[in-house]
Amino acid sequence: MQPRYIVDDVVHAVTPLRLGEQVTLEIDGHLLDVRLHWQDDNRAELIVNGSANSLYVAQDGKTLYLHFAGKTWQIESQDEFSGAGGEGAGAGQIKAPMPGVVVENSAREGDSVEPGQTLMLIESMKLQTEIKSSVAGVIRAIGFAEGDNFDKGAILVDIEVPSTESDE
Amino acid sequence: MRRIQSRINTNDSEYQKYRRHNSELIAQFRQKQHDARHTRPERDIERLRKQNKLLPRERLELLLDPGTPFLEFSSLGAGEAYEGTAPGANCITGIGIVGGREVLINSSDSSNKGGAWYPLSVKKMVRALDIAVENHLPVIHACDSAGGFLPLQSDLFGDKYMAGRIFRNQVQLSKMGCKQLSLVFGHCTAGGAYIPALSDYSVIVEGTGAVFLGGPPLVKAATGEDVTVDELGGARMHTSVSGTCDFYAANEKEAIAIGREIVMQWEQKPKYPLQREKPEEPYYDPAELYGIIPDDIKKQFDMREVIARIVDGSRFAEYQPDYGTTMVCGFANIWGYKVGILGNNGVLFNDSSLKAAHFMALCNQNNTPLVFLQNITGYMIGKEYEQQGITKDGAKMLMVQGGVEVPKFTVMTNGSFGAGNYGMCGRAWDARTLFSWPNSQIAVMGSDQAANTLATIKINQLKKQGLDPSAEELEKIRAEVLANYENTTSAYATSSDIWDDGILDPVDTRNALGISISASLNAPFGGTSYGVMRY
Amino acid sequence: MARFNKVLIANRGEIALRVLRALEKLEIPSAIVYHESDRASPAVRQADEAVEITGDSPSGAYLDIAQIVSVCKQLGAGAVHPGYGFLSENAAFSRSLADAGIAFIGPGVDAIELMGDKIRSREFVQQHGFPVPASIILDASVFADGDIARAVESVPGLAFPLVVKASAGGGGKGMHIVNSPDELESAARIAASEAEKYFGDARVYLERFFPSARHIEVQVLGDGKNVIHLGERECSIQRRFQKLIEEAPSPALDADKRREICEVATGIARAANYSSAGTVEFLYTPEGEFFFLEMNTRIQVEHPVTEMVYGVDLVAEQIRVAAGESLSLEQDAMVINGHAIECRICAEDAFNGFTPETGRVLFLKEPAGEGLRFDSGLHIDQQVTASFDPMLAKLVVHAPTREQAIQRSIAALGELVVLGVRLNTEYLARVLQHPAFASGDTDTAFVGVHGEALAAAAVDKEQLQVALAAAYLSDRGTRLLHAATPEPYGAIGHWRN
Repeated sequence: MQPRYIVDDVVHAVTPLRLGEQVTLEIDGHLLDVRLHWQDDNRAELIVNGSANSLYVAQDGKTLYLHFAGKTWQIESQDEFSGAGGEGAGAGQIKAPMPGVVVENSAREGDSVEPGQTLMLIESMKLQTEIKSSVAGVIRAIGFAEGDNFDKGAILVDIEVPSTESDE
Repeated sequence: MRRIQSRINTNDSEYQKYRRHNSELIAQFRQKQHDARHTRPERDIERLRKQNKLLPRERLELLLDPGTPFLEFSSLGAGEAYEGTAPGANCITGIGIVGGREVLINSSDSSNKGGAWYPLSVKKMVRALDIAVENHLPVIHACDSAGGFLPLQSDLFGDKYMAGRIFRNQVQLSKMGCKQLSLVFGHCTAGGAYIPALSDYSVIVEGTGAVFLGGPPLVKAATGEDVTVDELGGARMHTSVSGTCDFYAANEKEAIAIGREIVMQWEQKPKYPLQREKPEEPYYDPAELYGIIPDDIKKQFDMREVIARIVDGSRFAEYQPDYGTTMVCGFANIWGYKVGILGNNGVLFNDSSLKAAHFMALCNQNNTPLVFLQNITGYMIGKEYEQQGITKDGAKMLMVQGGVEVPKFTVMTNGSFGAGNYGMCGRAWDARTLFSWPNSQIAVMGSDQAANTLATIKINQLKKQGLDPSAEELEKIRAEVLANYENTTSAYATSSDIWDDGILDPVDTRNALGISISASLNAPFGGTSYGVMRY
Repeated sequence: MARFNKVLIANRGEIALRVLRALEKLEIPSAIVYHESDRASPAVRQADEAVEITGDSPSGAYLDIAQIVSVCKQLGAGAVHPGYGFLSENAAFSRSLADAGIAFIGPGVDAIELMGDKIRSREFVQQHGFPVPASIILDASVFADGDIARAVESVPGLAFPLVVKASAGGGGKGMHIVNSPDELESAARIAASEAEKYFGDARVYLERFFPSARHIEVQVLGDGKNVIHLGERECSIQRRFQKLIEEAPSPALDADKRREICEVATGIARAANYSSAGTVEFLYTPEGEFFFLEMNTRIQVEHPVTEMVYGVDLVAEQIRVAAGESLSLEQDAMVINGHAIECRICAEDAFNGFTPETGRVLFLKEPAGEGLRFDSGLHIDQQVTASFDPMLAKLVVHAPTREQAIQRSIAALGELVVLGVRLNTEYLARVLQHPAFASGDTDTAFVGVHGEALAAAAVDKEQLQVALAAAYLSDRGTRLLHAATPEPYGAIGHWRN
């Protein structure tokens, strides 16, 4: 199992070579001797190649939030086992570009839609954005009702895209 | 504990000569090992890729925890058999860490011949499961095998230690509370079907994983029924209809993820609290072993120099240093674990045999595991020694060695000849693990000795036929006999036959022993029923 | 001394807590209304009484006049402090409270209505002889005429670029820049329709836009009889017409200019008979001209910088005045001391178009120290959603000099630890570190003009490696595995024989 972490959309392999009180890691071709002394659930002293830093850590699922040397990092741990299945799905899923609120739903479940058709009006940061279909298909689900809040990345509309293969 | 004072001079020309010789030997071993593990016909790899299968060693790396070791057994098993067509005996076995648990892994190597079971595959798997039984280790089976290799079925099927033993060992393990998990990546047909069926947990992969007693062609032939693989034994069927398997996985990666989660639920039982200190690297560089092992098996070396390059801090508390000096005994730590070490510094005499017997009894009383470093030509022969009772003293050594309760580990560092093999815990004597260095040999007697004996017999036969071979012909006969003998006694030959648990690069000895000792502590031991006799 | 028996806080977040502190100081019993999503916030937990209100959306609850008035009656609150935003400049709210005999802590309803109507307030200011930017009201007749460009040309001093604003807007809402005549028609129509949609008032006006002007505002305080000023704040560092960093005093004004602009501000407030705290906003051009922009009839987000340099409590003053007392401060006694900078801590990806970020506050460590004030409604487990403004807290630093205030602010931004939601702290530090900011060379285009220099710094490779190492080691999954791994496997490490 190869641990991998994502920072700013770039995947980095973190390869432990030796565990124990001091851990030896290989990161992007460099060797680091690292120690963590936990002070409480969120605070630790981090010693890397002999130099110490105060480290603050919190974890939410696969997302790690770190703060040291005056900088905050958001790091995702990549599940080596995920993404193995269910590939190809998601072509007809329209994800929220940013968090916001649904102002208006202009399509309903079961509707046939064409590329470019407006499906939803969302509002975020006092700006309204029209959510348009990028594919032709049938709406499988509308993710949110009018007035509902959604987070960035939430599936706003799920469109079933017919298979491109013909039956003949 | 005092540090061993090495007498090796690394600038010495002899050291340099040995180092060159052994480096070549190791390079050769590494090449053979690499080929056995990875060299496969392109079409075999392609076939697996097309089936959306991972290579068995890729599965293994996914399964194992990051930053942890894997002690592989018998990587050159079947290496000299079947004209080299079943490298590694078509399976991968070893001890590793999955989800923080020490587990034994038994994986088919479907990258060769569909992972078919050859006679030595069965021997290797049975041995792996024996290791699990002896050390109370849970087992993960990675199943992807074409089944028994029919042309050789008579050598793998019916006997006590043949294929049935795999399943018998599975049953024993379950009974002992050693969990087993099967990850069904490929077909498990006929007997192979029992591996997942006898496992306490199982995961089966959609599409490629299948479990059935008879595959579709056999069903068609037997009953005329037309049935697909999926209907007969596919992932959906077994996880929703028959209940033969527990978890459905959409693909191999998911199966491994589920498998890891299952293993993480397993209880972690306390291990035997063997006396342990903080591990310390050997003071002397283990790589110097290459310059210590001579280039000729007949040349003697000081086993203390080997011990100094295996044990923590090169520290060794030698027992009776001035008595029975051909037998080196003493206490040391390996990866922190307290062990008693017995190493040969020459032929076993009466006194060295008695010293060994007494030392083993001491270790047994103290619950200290034993490590045997074999370089033994045998027990001393001749009138004087027989009259002193060398056979009786050798028997004492065997009686104690065979009787101790503590775990034993053996390393073939050079020669292992005659009854010395027995006294020093050879294969028959239940070492928890036994490894060989590439230079080592195992035989009833040394090769020169044996070649001379065999050549004498052959020459006598010729003479009986009225022939009188010339000196040149005599030498030719002797050379042929010697070459043939050495071929069958080399580490590659004995490891091919699973007389050991694999060939080791000498520098890996410390880690192999550390893992072996750690694994052994899962099985309880102790409770001597005799006092220590001073023989 | 006149005082309220109980004051209800009709707001949330940091300003609710700020008002609560003032009430505590004045020893006035407090009450607060809250939407369920704010139940665990510090102000709700610390107020003497708290009543849940509901709404179609969380912000809808805080805008529900009838509900809030009814809570006031139920609790017997004599006054309401509206904070900023929500109902703080809502004349209908003020009127409903008055009808129920409850005091509104803010100016009189006339001032709210006057200043809330941007067109009317401009005219009012102009009539009293104070400078306003050249502008034209886009009423029906201009639209009907069909040639807005010609109408624009007819106004002296009105030249491109222009900005179209909604009369009922404010605070950056409903504003659009118009760079050329051909954009004019559609921009005006869109603005009018948006204004109708957002504010129910389609009236818009065009005003000269000064791309490189400074935003300078003057804090005024009135009690209906007397009006004083508390100097200016410079709020030029803005993104999307919204302020990010504010400071007092402005590095751009000399004493004469300061007196001039402050006198204009007090003049406007006096003309409006202003009572309570208010802010008169100006555009200050590089040529040294200034124009009235609008007047905010509420306590301003950035009020702490004024409080820190003048050593006053504006909220307490608001409450006293609303209770009928006279100002406790005198203009002559108002002496500026040092420099104060406020950084608005927002949940946003500042390096990526300032898009809002959401998340849950998992860990919080506030900066502290001499001259440092951290006004925050943050709390552990707080769910940061898109329902409310992304501003979560304000970091205010007061120091003897501007340079020291900048340095301490940068240090304090690094000391603030909020884990679980992305904040703009690093961006704020980048702005403060910029040489143009250090030299006081700031205008409302700062964020755009220096966009490249303010872009995310390339990640330091060594720091990245340390971060990855820390991530791996602190990952719960890793810790679980490491804890379970028996010896000597870890110590042997990755090894294959």
